[in-house]
Amino acid sequence: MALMRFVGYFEWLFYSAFFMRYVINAMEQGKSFERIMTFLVITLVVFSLITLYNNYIENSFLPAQKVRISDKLSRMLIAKNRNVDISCFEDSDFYDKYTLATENADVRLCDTVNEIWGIVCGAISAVFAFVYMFEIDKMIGLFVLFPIVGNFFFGSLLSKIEFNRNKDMAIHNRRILYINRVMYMKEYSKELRLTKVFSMIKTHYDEAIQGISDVTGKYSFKGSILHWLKCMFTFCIIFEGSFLYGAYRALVSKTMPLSVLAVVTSMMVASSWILIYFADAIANSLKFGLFVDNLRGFLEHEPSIAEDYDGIDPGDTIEKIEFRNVSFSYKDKEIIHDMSLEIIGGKTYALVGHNGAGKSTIIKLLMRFYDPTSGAIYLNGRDIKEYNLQKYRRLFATAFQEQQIFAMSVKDNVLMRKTTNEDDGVVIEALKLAGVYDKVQTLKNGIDTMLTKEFDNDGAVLSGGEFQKIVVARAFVMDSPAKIFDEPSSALDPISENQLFENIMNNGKGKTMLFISHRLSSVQNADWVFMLENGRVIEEGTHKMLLDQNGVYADMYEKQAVNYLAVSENELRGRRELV
Amino acid sequence: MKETMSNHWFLWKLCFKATPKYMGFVIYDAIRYQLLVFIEHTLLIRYVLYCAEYHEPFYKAAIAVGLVFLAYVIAFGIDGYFRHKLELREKPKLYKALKEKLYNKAASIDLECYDNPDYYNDLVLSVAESDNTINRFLDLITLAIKSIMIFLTTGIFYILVDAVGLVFIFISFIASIFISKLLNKINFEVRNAINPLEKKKNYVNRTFYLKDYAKELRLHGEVGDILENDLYESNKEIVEIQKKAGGKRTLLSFIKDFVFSSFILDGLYVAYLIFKAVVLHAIDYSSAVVLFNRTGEMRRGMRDLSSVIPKANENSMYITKIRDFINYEPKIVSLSDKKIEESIGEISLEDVSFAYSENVPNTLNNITLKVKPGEKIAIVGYNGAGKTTLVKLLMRLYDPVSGTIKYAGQDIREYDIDEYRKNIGVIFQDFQIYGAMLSENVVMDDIDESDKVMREGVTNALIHSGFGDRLASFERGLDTPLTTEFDKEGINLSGGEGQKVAIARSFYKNAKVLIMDEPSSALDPIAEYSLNKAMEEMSVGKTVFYISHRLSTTRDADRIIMLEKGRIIEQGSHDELIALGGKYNEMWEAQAGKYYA
Repeated sequence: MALMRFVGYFEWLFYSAFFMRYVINAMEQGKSFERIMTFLVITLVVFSLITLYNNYIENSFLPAQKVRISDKLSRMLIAKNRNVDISCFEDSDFYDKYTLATENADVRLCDTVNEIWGIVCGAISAVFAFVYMFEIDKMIGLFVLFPIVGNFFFGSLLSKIEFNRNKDMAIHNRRILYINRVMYMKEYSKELRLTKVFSMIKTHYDEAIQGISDVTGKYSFKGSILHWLKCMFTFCIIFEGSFLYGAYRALVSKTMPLSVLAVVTSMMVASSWILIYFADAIANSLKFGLFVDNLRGFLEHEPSIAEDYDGIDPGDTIEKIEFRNVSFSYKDKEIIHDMSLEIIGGKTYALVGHNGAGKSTIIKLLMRFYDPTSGAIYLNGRDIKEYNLQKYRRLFATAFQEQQIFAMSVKDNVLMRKTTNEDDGVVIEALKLAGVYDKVQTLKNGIDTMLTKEFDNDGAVLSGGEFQKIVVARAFVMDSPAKIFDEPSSALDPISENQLFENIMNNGKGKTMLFISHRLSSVQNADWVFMLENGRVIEEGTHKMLLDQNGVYADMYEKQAVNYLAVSENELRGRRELV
Repeated sequence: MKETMSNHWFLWKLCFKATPKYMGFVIYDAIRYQLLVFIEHTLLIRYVLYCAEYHEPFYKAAIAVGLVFLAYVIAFGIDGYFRHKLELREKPKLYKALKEKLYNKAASIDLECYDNPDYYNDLVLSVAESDNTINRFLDLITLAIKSIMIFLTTGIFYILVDAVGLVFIFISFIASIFISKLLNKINFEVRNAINPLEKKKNYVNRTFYLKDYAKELRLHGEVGDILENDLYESNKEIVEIQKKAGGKRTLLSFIKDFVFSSFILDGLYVAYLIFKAVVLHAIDYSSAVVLFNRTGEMRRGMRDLSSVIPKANENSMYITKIRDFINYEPKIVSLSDKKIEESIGEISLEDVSFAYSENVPNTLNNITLKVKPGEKIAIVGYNGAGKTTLVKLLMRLYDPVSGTIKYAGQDIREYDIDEYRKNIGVIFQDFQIYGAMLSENVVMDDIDESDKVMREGVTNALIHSGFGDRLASFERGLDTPLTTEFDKEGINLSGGEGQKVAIARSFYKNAKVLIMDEPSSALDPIAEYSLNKAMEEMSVGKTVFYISHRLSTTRDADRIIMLEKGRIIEQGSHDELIALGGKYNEMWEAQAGKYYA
């Protein structure tokens, strides 16, 4: 690749300098036509070989090589990606850097290499052009300095202006992009029709355009002047200046032969373009430098929870899980405060509380997506950090709220591993328990139907509730000692919801169960309830104990129950006391 | 061809109307560039060499050089103004001219277009390609003018000095085009073979770098292995495909780059020039140098000109899509411009049926329903029973396939559609908060920030919806920017808070008919409770339609409509339906039963 670049510059310089000089010299000196032709034929043969080599590199070698580079890079990036802890994805600084680094990383890596060679070859050619011109005539050589000043001095001043201008314009451009998004995304379509929000958007659009215009005005005078200077130095002074100087030498002092004058004219064009590309290559390399920095930063990042951590085998029974004085801060804000709780194997636990009370965080800590900031979590008396992470996680079957469906078959999506026909039975059973098997049966290929239209135009697109049920089926299918359900029923109608909870309870017999639900009616069957508020367990006990306690849980329960019971809150209390 | 012309003419008119100055400049710039290049690199060089060859006086050469220099002094000055002022200022206007047409259409087309994937893809593509289409159009203008200019300048120069040169260039050009066609065919085949593999690769890469999938990949490691394996297999296949095509491509490129290019122009043509100069003495050295130097330029002119038409055709495809979109006639329009009366009217559905498209079963079947002014209607039923569809018909987001919906005795299609919708307040679960000020998010219209009446109205609406305390905590009050989209100090509301702002919209609008579609399903019990209180307050004296899965929130309705498979199967008050002992009763028991414990 490097050689190719180099040959490209060589060919250019050769033709505009050496070749032309030789031919015109020969003509002037009256050498025979045959001799000139011999030179021409040799040149052609040499260049045919060079072109052949270039074509081979460009058409055979590089296309395959680029894929190999991309493959290697993917392996490194994905391995890293799978090993970093999940908090990296939520740290927007890290994540931005990471996306910057990995987006089209393969293409950009090749470009970077290319650009580096561009700089090297550009520098060599520029030096060569300079030396060659200098050798022809010392004064002419000096003309090459002008494009250098134009490109590097004025060019850098100009890019500074452009940088500042883009920075000032960014907010307006962002607004235009945002408006664009609002105008075509489905989520906004209803409100665009039902309200007048469209006229507000139009006003914002006009304001953004006005803003761009204002920013432009701020930089336009300085920019225009610098642009003029850059162009004059890069093109005019060197071209017209060298013509004038050459004409002077040829006509007045009569010290320059025609051949050299011809070479000078075409060399000037070639060398100023070489310098322009050289300057561009340097400017680009700064951009690529940032990219390489980000890439390295990501690859060298040391995860605090390494996914491949190899520790003690946790076995396959859960006797006791304990949170001992666990605190957890996320983005400098403590969201779990000094929490201690105990979960006994084989029992059913419910976590309740407001949105944002810390319910899901507890589960994330338990799954070791994060580690506590202080305190520790113990499984069977041992800090969970000591266990082999993969094996530890396999103790839990989990159904989270915002889980994703993959572009794979229904069966693969439930089992989440390589599947065989022997798995059909368990998959169907799990789908039945999740209450979605009837729907799956109506699909073209039953449980082998592809989900999403990503690769298959016949792929099935299910409703939000149906996707949720498939996610829940993942938890049913796993034969693990503990099961965790985080709001499994939020998108379901009452009958399906009721059925689902019954199935969860039956399926979970003898297993350790932990679930989060807003429907307090489903919580009653739990052996133990933790009521959370602001990252603390404020009440715990059985459903009945908590009602008797008459605290926050009881209040919450009553608010939900009051309408169902069609009795006043006082009556409700009375009734409960009777029971 | 005709379509290509008419499409670009359409774009030209649009652009020229938006900014005549800029469009004029684009044309000037292309002509100026090519003209000066010709004068400098062909005429000037030749003249200076000519002066040297025939020993003309120095001042002649000096004047020629000076004139060109002066031309550049002026041209670069104008250039600076163009790039650093005019272009930056006018281009957004150009984009806007087309975008505005698209946006206006997007805001008025029928909602059903969003359900139709073909149509929706057209919308997304039109919007996404709108700026690019204009850029391509501008490039096309520049390219066409520049290449025509090359013919008018360098081309004529060749004819005058040595027309034979054109033959060499032309042969080289035609032969290269022929080879390029073959090459393109191979590349096209390669691309076709690679595309599905690239799609797979992209998908795998996406699952790894999007945070949405991070949890699954950690909980189910084996899925990651499957995906990774897919990626590596795809890479292997691509390498094979590239390898297979490599030999042929190398050979063809060599023929194109060497045999039909270097060999003809740097070999044969140079030999011809030297022969003419040395043996025949039929041409002067200065002309020979310039002719040789300009072969590349001439060839580029031919190549560019021949690429204008395919490029125009490609751009035309996008313009056609955009124009089709702009020309789409929405079906849901006001049949006449009847105004809505001040008092609340009765709503009646007469034998209404509806299907989302022709080949799917009806979502609603023969619904007949009369709703008295001020009546509170609850709509309940399983997922997919048609509840949301029913209210969407009431809002005229869709029109029934058969049957009519009347408001105050008048078919709702007869009303001015904006007027009619103004009459309805809607609260969804999937409301949106906009990157704008809090007041704008409530008014949902263009506002004058200093309008006192508006400010008071918005404040009241927010207090009524239960957002008062939060509002009081904002330093900038109603002017607080929402979302961090544009303002680092912007406020991101929680789900419950956002819902309150959405409710405030209906308070502010003071609509006579309220439609609430599961507004509370994402909220925790306490937030749900306070939301219900707010909605209760708002409902006073209004006709209300309320959809909910939580039967506890619907039991106080005047009438409960139980839907199943698009039909009304039961209706009546809560007590009546319980006494009936049908489906509603069953559903109620399922939910409420546990609370009796």
